[in-house]
Amino acid sequence: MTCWLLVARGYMFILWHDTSIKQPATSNERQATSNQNMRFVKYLLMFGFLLLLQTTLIPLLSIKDVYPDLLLIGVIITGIRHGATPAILAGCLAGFVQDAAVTQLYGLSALAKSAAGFVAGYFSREKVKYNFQVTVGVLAATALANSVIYQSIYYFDSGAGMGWVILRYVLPHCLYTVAAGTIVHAAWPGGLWGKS
Amino acid sequence: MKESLLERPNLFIVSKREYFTLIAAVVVSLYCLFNNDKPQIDAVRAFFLERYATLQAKFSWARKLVALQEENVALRRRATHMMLENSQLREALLENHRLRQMLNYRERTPWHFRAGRVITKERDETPVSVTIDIGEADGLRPNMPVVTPEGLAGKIYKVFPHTSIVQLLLDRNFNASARVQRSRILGIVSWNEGFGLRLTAVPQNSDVGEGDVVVTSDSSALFPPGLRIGLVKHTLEDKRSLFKTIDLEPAVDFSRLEEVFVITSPEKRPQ
Repeated sequence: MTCWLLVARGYMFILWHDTSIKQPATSNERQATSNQNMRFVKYLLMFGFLLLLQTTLIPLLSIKDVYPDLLLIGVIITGIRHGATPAILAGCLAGFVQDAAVTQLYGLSALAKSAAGFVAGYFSREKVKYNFQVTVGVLAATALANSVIYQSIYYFDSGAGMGWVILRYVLPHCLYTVAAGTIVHAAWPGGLWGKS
Repeated sequence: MKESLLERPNLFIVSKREYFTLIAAVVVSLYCLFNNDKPQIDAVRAFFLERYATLQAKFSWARKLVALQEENVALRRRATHMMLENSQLREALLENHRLRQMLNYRERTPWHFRAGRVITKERDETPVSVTIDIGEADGLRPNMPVVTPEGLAGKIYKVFPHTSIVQLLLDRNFNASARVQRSRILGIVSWNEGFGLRLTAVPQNSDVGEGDVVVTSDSSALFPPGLRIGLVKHTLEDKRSLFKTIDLEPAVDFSRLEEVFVITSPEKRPQ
């Protein structure tokens, strides 16, 4: 366990410090580090709030066990604004928290949301110019990636046909999440990409 | 500026960091997926679950508030129904007691229960698992039967210090040996592709009809016999198959599951 934590810490160190391994010296660098920490706390609070909504209010909106995935919308926001790396990490962590309370396959949500984070951030890397249609497209692609991975592994070897799984779970989950994401995008000033 | 050898691998990792992060996340997730039963994975799970459960428990009033009125009406109806049923059962119990004494039957070993409150649900309408607020500290162990007043709800899947995960009957990996109460036909209760449950391994010529009660059988290693599982909804006879397809309506209303009882041990009552 300690070994894994050390490896993870080393990897995070390389990611966050780019090529310079020296400590920040100037006041500008210190300011930048402080802003990064603030952003981290902001996102941690956002995911906490989304988890709270997901567990308390979202079940009331479920239609035949299909409900929107707010944590996935959080991963998409992270991907659009900051790129794939933070989105993958956020997705992986959010997935591990979600997986904690289910019977089996610990790590399945983490796997699906990591891939979803990569999809959401990929468009940001390609310097896509965001407008309403593109944002809905990113939402749909990310939700579909998450849903396909999660549901197909969950129902693998269950005897249920793939067509049934797609029609009963994959598409409805995907559509509901896209609808919820679009509402958030339209209602939130600046939309999902956070620019007015 | 000339780069040192030490910095080159870092540069490579940073330029391709999306791919490296994705690979790392996939590897960690797959490691967890394939090592679900390892104590290290359980420790990580317990860490997240305890916090998740605390959060859920603090804000569960929000959900309850909305469902309260609907639940109130349903409970009143159920209370009336149960009152009538109770009086009939009381009569039957007295009669049973007299008959047992006459036949010199040994009293059935009583069960010990632990009551638990549901704090999280995976899915709301047809939940496949729930988290309850009692755990190892309360004497719970994996595979202990979980019941409600309506019948069998599931079994304990994982235990943590103060919480446990219950695998419900609707989970696709759940199987239980069962018996049709009227005709004593044996079968296996398992997940149904749509909603509800299915009784499998019942031969075509068996006497099973709509409305028959299905209970746990005495050949089950996990569950005490006689716990109600559900009612036969409809039977399908496929001439090409050796077995009947029997759909069941679960006895427990899983969408309203809020309190459950865990059968901790069939110890004897103190004399």
